[in-house]
Amino acid sequence: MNRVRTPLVLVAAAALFSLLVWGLGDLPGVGEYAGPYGDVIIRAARNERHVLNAVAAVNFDYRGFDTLGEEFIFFASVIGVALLLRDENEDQRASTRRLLPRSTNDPRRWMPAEPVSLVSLPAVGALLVFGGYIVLQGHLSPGGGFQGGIVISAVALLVALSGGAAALYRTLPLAVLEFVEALGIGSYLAIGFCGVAAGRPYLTNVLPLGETGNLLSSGTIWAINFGVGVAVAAGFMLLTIEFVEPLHRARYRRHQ
Amino acid sequence: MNATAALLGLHLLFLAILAPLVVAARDPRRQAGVISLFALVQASLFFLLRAPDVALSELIVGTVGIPGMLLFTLSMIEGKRP
Repeated sequence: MNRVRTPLVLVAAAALFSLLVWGLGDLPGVGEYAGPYGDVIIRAARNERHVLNAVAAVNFDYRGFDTLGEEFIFFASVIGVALLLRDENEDQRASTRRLLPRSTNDPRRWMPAEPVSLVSLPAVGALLVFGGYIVLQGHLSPGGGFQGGIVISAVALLVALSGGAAALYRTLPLAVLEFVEALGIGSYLAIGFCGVAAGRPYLTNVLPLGETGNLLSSGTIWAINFGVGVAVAAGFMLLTIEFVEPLHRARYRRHQ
Repeated sequence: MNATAALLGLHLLFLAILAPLVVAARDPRRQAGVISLFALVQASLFFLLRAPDVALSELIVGTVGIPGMLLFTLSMIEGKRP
């Protein structure tokens, strides 16, 4: 078997490698851009949509429908993880949650090493401010809803690291996160209908564009970007909780 | 050859070294660490190539998210072992 396989793999690898080298030879140099699309979009985004970050204009306006699809892929994956990892029904969940030890003296409660808390807790505030800034400036500077959203969602991981599941339930209730997640996703769909209400196609940018460079400008791009930030932050927080929760439940059961 | 090109080459060299190491690390725990390091170099490379937004996503998803989920899953599996 190996006698056939090894030469076969070697020949295939050599062929792939030469194809790669051949392809790399024709690549333009670093920083050299030949295509017209980028230049066109940078000019159009600024003049037509009053946006400084052309990437945001492409994501949330010119290719807004594609991003709507991506947003639902994200939504579906969060739901998928929740379905896979939740092995209790709502009532069982509620009762284990009540039983989770709250007192810091309780030996069943997981407590972090002190240096971990010392680093995690102050970072919470800093991450919230930084993530919020990235979301709000999505149409003005690099970044936007997705990037800012995941920065904010890292807060859930820090809370879990410094206080475990008990701290997570108290600071970030699951029901609230689920609601906020749905609200964020729903806002994208709803903003799309603004265009329909104005008698234009779905997702047309019909809100007032404002002055280029202002925080409140670029019409629906700003609104969609904000909604995506909310949805991504809540979604990744939900993911974190779904992963952290079973660990703490198992620990509690072991100590019972 | 200017400083940026040298820095770029250094990043690519690091990536070329780290990528096989990710595959070669057979212990999943150790692999999580190598993935994290790999993503950190990638994020730095994206920043160097003037894509700070992509760098930011890579920083959180690659250095914290993926290794974190991997470690969570590993401890979940170990918890279920008799």
